Amino acid sequence: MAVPIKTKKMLTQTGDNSAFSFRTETKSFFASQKGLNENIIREISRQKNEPEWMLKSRLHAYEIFLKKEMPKWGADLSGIDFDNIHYYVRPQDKAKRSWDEVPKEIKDTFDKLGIPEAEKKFLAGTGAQFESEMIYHSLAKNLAKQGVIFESTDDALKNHPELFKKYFSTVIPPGDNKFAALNSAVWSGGSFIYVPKGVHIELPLQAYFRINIENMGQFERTLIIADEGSSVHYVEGCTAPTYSSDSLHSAVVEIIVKKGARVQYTTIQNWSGNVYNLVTKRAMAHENAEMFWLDCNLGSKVTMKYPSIILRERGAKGEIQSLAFASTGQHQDAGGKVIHLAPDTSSTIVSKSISKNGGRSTYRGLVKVIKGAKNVKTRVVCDALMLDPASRSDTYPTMDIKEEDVAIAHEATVASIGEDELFYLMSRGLSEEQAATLIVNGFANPIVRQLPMEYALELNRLLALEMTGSVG
Amino acid sequence: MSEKILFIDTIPNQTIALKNDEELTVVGLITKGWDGTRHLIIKTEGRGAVCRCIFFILGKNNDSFLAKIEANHQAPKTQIKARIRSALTDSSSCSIEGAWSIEKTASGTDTYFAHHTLLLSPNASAKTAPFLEIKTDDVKAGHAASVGKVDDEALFYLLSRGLSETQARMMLVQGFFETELNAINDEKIKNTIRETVTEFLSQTKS
Repeated sequence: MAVPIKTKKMLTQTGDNSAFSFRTETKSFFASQKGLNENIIREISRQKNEPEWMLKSRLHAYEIFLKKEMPKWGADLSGIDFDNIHYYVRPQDKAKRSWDEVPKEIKDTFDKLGIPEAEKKFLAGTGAQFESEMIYHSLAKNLAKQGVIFESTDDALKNHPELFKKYFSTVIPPGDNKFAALNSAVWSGGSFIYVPKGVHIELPLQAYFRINIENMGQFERTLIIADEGSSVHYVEGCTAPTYSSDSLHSAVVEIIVKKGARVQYTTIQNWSGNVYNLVTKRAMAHENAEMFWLDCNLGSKVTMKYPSIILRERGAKGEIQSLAFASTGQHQDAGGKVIHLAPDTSSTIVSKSISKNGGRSTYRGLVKVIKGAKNVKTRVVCDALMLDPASRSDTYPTMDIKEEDVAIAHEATVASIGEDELFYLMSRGLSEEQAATLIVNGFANPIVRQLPMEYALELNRLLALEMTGSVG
Repeated sequence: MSEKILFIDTIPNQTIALKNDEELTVVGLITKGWDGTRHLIIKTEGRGAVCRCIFFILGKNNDSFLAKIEANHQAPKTQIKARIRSALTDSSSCSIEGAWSIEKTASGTDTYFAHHTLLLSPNASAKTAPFLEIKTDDVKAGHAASVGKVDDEALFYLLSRGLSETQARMMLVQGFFETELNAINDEKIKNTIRETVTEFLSQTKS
């Protein structure tokens, strides 16, 4: 998980996500009534004290949201009741820079999750979002001095209006899809990161997202701009307690990677089994820039998420690696998209999925090369592992190539755990469960080992936990 | 029981249903495009049915090869394996969707879909979408796809051995198709394919 949890505690729990399923009784500072209309959007904008252009942009996006149809492909979204959602819940009056100022109940929640210990240990900066608002943001002093900006997106709109207006909605316009439109209408919170020219942030910046109340919609908006020759690694983690009715998480993440810059965006998604996770993520890579999405999906009821990279200038490089784990009642519909618009660009997509106990995982991907994008190289690999006959695994890759001078390769395999593999390990003295866990860990390893070490250990433990009782 | 070979010159709008232990090899040597989308359905309805498809697509002028090939595994221990190789010149285009599905009842299935495309002209284009839907766990399933041009290094190697560029290209494209010919147990069909490929290549300028 995004924050270390004591192993002991983890191992005494057997259910999915139960380590995170505690709830905190909190008093919200403000909560919009359920459902969505123009007045609620005006109210959100008024509470946030936003400039006129932002209100207009929200209302415009709301119109688009109403016009757009629900996607007819992919996962089953019929369980979403747009009228039964709180679109905006404000847990406190403003974001704090010191952990001590955060209200006690909220602090308790994050203390249980391990924030801000994680910050003390190895992070360059932390953000924590509770319901609709970032309640806490901090950044190492030396980075602030170099001009790095790491704030909640709401604060950035106030503090850096020109920078904000220049890039906001340029990578993902509201018309992109129904959920991007919804986010653009009611967005709140999220992180805003600006890394100035030539600045390298060695340690990762982290944000942690938590939905606490029932029927909540979380719509964070993240905007990352890495200026020429800079680099940054951003890590996000998400959890929520289990309620009987569903919540919606619909984020938009826009990333601009300027000439020669590098951005890595790591997600460890472990929402509880009643969250619809419908996220639009896209990066725009300029000349010789490098974008790397590392996407791990373990939780949620339904996830539909396809991190995308537009390689728009010569020499840009993109990489998407994703890991999905679908168990009972879960559908992980994930993948990646790469659009090659310029010559000498290259990309890699690696996707690994594990389906168990009737879970369903789907890889959906696109590689597109336009005419004139010469010397493009792409490799797509997707592997699926199925642990029982009740599970399901789908693969929908598409390759659309309009240029001759390219090298595109795609391969996929689907398999179950081999009896001979199990037999071999068991003859070495492992129990069937241990053997299966070892095989699953080995399967996931190429992705897991790319995570910062602390997270990698945590993810291996989570996988082991998911495997408990799965065989025999 | 016995293997049948069906030799065709297009992707037909057709449904092929295979019964118990039936074995069929479909070899397609396709040199003419068509309007619209062709839809070929292969179903293994009986236990142990095996279907192999080997398609060679040679595109020129404005030919368009638009097809959806659906493979549906319904019975246990069945195989549907398709290997498609296309070489495209001029402004020809090829778009193939392979929709492979394995039903719950089809345990022990072994399935494969591959589509490799060689683009021989700057105006040729290819789209490939190998889809897989798997509803049971005891399966072996794989797919592969690639799009590329004649390998520059291989070409350089042959030129350095004294071949002309036309000869070298012809040899490499023939090699590209030759890989799949081994799977066909009929010398006559193999030779027909070789001759057609050679003729096709001699007509196109390099």
